[in-house]
Parts: sequence; C-alpha cells; structure tokens
Amino acid sequence: MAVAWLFGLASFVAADGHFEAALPRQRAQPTGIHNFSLWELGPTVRASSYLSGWNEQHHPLFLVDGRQWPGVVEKWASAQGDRHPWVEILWQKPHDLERVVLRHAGWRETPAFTARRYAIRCLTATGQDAVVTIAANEAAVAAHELPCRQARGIRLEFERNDDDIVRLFEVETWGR
Amino acid sequence: MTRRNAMLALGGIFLLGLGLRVLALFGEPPHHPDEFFQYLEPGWQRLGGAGVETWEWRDGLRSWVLPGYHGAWMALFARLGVRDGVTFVTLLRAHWALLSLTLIWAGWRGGALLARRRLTAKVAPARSEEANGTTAPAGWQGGLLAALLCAAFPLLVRFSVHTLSELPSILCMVWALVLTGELAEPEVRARRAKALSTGALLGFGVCLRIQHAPVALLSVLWLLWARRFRGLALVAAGAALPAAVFGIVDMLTWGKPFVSFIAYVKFNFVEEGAALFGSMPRWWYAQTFFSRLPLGLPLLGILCVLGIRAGWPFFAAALVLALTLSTQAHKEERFAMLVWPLMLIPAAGYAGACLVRRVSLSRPPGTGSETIAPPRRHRVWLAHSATAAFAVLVLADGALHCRGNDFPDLSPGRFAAQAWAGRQPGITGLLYDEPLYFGGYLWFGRPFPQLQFEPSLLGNPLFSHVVVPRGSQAMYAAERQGFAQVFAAEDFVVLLRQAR
Repeated sequence: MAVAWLFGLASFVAADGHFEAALPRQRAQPTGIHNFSLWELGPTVRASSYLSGWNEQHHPLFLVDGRQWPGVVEKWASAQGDRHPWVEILWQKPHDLERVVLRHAGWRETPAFTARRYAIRCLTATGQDAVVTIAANEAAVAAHELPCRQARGIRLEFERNDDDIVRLFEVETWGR
Repeated sequence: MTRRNAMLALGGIFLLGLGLRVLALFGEPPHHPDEFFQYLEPGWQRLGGAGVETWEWRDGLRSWVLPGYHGAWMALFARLGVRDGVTFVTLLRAHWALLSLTLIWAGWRGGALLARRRLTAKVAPARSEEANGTTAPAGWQGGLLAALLCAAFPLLVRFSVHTLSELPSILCMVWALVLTGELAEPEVRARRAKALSTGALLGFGVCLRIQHAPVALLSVLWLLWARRFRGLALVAAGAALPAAVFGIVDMLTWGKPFVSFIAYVKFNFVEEGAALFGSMPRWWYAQTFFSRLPLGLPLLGILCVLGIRAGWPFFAAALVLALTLSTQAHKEERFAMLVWPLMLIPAAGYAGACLVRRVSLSRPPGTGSETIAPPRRHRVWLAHSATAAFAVLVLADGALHCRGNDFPDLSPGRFAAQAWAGRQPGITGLLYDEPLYFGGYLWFGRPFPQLQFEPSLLGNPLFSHVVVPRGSQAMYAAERQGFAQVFAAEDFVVLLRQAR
C-alpha cells in the first residue's frame, strides 16, 4: 500500500499543473474560410495556468467561446505565480491556417492590460513550425498573418507586462 | 475475562465502528467547504489544471502536506482508471473512515490504561498472569468501554469521513496522549520506540492543526510529572521529524521553510483575521457541547472529575483545548472535535475501574476466583447495568443530537445536482447559485468552467447547464433564456440549454 502511495506521490510531484480540456464537437466543420478554434467545433485547449478564484474563474475555454460582448470575467487570465504563461489550441483535424486574431484585454478593459510581447507558433505534425513574434503590440484586437499548411494547432507564448498576469479574451484562427 | 474473549469483544466493537462508518460514508453530508477547497481541490488542480484557488492558497497560508497526501492518492486512483470526481472523493473519505478506526484501538489502550491506573494491586490481575496471555489486560473493562464509545459516538462517526485536517490531527493527538500514558507507566517495553512514536505523532498533530498544541503541552507535562526525562528527550527528537517534513515541503512549494505555518499563525492568532468569518461569544463551545450531549455531558464531566487522579492529562487537555479555543473570536465545531475523545476515554476508564472494583469487592475475600456469593451478585449486576446504562445514555443522547453542522447550506441536494450535471456527456459549462456550497472541480469531475450564476452569463454558449434552487429567480431567468429542467435533487434543479 505504501509503495503504491509513493508511486502516486511521484506522479503527483511530476505533474506541472497545466490545464487541458477537449470540448465536444457540436456541429460539422464548414467548408469555406472559418474560425476553426470556435468552441462548437470541438477544439482542445491547453494552458499553463489560469486565475481561478471562486468568482474570478478566468477559464481558458473562454478563449474559444466566440462571444461578441463578453463580461470581464469571460476571458483567460494566467495565474499570479505563472512566470511563463502559454496557451495551446489544438484542432480535431489539420487545417490550412491563414491568420490568427487575438482579442486582448484592451478590447473590453483598460489598454494597459493588453499583452505587448508574445509569440504565436503554428503546430504541425512535421515539427516545421511557423512562428510570428510580436515585440510591441498596442492593438486591442490584433490580427497576425501566419500561413501554415496542415496545422494541428497553435501555441501562444507570452512575456508578462512587468509582473502582471496575462489577459486574453478570444483566440480566432482563420483558414480552411 | 480471558484475553481471547476480550479480543473477541474488541473485534466486535471494531466491526460496529466499521459498520457505522460505512453508513456515514454514504449518508453524511459535507461538513465544511474547507474539506473540498483546502485539502482536495489544490491536489486536483495540480493534477488536472482545473480548480478553484481560495485566498488561503493564493496568499500561501496552507501547507501542501495534506493536499499532497490526498493528491498522491488521486494520482494513483487516476492511474487505476478512476475518472469520476465523486468516486475520487468517496475513496478518500473511505480512506479516512478506515484510518479513524485506529481511534477505537487508541480508546481501548487509553481506557485500559486509565482504569489500570486507578486500580490497586489487589484488584488488578497479576502481571505474570497477564504476561502468560491467558488473562485479559488489566483494566480491560475501561478499555472496552472507551473503545465502544470511540467506535460509536455519533459525532466522531460523522466526523470520520471528512477530509479535513482536524481528523488526522485528532488521531495523532489521542494516540500520542495514550502512548504518553504508557510511557509514564512503571513497566514499559520498547520505551525508546514508543517515545519516538509519541513525538512523531505530537509533531504531526500540531503541524496539521496548530490549535491542538495545548494537548501536546499536557503530554509533556505528564512525562515531567512521571519523571520520564529521557523519554521526554526522545519525544522531542521524534517531533523533529514531522516538523522537518512540513518545513521542507514549505521550502519546496512556497520558497521558504515554515512560511505557510508562520503566515497561518500570523493571520489567525496575531491579526485575528479569522474573525472576518464570524465572531461568537466566549461560551459558544460550552453551548455547542451541551447541545450535542445535553444529558450525557454532565455525566461525562462527573466521571472525568471523579477519575481525575488517573485521567487528569486527558481531561485537562480537553479543558485547556476548549478554553484556548474559546479565547478565539471565530469558532467552529470542528475546531473542538478533539475534546470528545479526550473526555470519552477518561470517563470510560473511570467507569471501567469502578466496575472492576465493585466486582472484586463482591468476591469472597481471599478467593480470587470468579465465584461470587449470592447476596453480592445483585451488586455485580447493578455495577454492570450502571456501566451499560452509561454507555447507552452517552451514545443515545449523542445520536439524538448529532444532526446539523456549522454550514447548513451544504445541502446534499446541491452536491447531487452538481455531480449529476458533471456526468452528462454534452456538458461544456455550469452556472450555479453559490460556489462556496458546491464541491469544486473535483466533485464536478470535468474541466469545464463553473461560475456563480449571473443572468448575463446565460448568453455565453459554453454554459450548457445551470444548478439553482427550485423556484428561485435564477431558475426563472434561465427558463426565460431557453433552459429547461432535466433533473432535480431535493430543493435543487438542473436546467439544460435547449438551443444554443
């Protein structure tokens, strides 16, 4: 029993606490250009952490809820202690990615909360990942061209504004 | 009584305790939000990423030792294929219920010890007789009675299935006090191992619940009183191990040794921050104890006072603990749960000693046999009846007054509704009326968002389900937005979004 518990303890210590959730697909994929990260198309969302107080569940799945007028709680925010926040959105099947649109905190909150430095990486089966790096973003809704064939998903890696947490309302990935 | 018969009786008491704990496992509602949010949810969140982080965890007021202990079990259960949140919680509750059976063994040894301490050499069986294994240990009457009370006292049974820090600390402190008493005995075997174990138990008990520290002081005082100075040094050495464990875990998780312990003490005792969660009058614990055992408590108190010469460390520990806790503005019943075994064991020890004395006085002088003269049988019968009546009174009184707890809003209906919603294949998010009174992400068993109900959130398509009280404004608001009832548990309903 003790050995079994120690095995469990080793697994527990090895866990890094990252978040992962796969949404069930609600409808078939459209054929034309569309946002294939939308929640109803069944994406998997992974995140390094999230701010998770009782009434401030800034859950990573809000990144793909497609809300046009979200309240301030309906955004992803990284945890206070997370020094290197990241988010991944993975799709059920590969897509030809054209551009990524990020709705930053400034879209609904003060512009000071908008993430300024981040990188967007296209994830492919071959590992030949296209990357776009943004060093001084000011846009509340930022559109980034990232042509990438047969992409399985994207990964966003953030550098925090000073010691602040990262806030992001929505991630849209357009292509076909 | 022969040793074999005493062990059979003790086995029966264990089975009774086990049966009652099984009933508690499936019938006992949650006692306090902390049993989810402080000791289970952090471990769950580390394993799966989804969880509720309370302010204590954000500000570093909690040690990772107990959530880590639970987390290791969760990781193991997950490897074994457990997926359902309620199953995780039930397994952990069953684990604590099983561990709480050790309290019966502690009661047996503590009751026998205290009964033995009261008995004279004439009455107690000779050590040689005991050593050859044929006779039950001296004071077995007190031991069996204490074991029975620890097995079946309703509040202890109820409390045995809750994943709170109080329970492991109670087990540690009661065992430590029993072992201290055995160390103070003139003839002790394996004294060094016993002293080190006592220290380790005291250390774990105090590190888990600093509020239980007065009991540790009584343990020290007992050893000093019995002039067991070497034993005391070994106890101190034993206590260093758990202290080191807690210090190292704090260093690895919060960055500095004992930092969570210091922050906890500072917030609760220096800044009296706990008063933010409610202040009660000084006599609140006394009132609560009386409300739990209106007839039995005075009897327990009388027996403890009558048996004070032998049982003073237990009774004094109970009193000092209750008085110390009464000085704190914020009071909760669980904080003082340790008082019960600390009173039940000495009272049972005294009652057991009285029984031995009454029976032995009824024997013809100089025989030492079990033969009792007819006129005296009546007295023996009376002594047995009085002892049985004491046990029945305490247990029945306890059973009649054991319902309810500090958080009546922790309704089983809420938990049933949340668990049902979590098991639905199409769920993508849950809105509920009061996050504090639900079971967090572990009970939900899904990583999808859970938020307190706000009408504006009904517009977010992720929220597929709503759990709210039947007939509430929230229920009507959800129905107006296209949700319909699909499940009900007590006063709570689950509503499902009909169209996105």
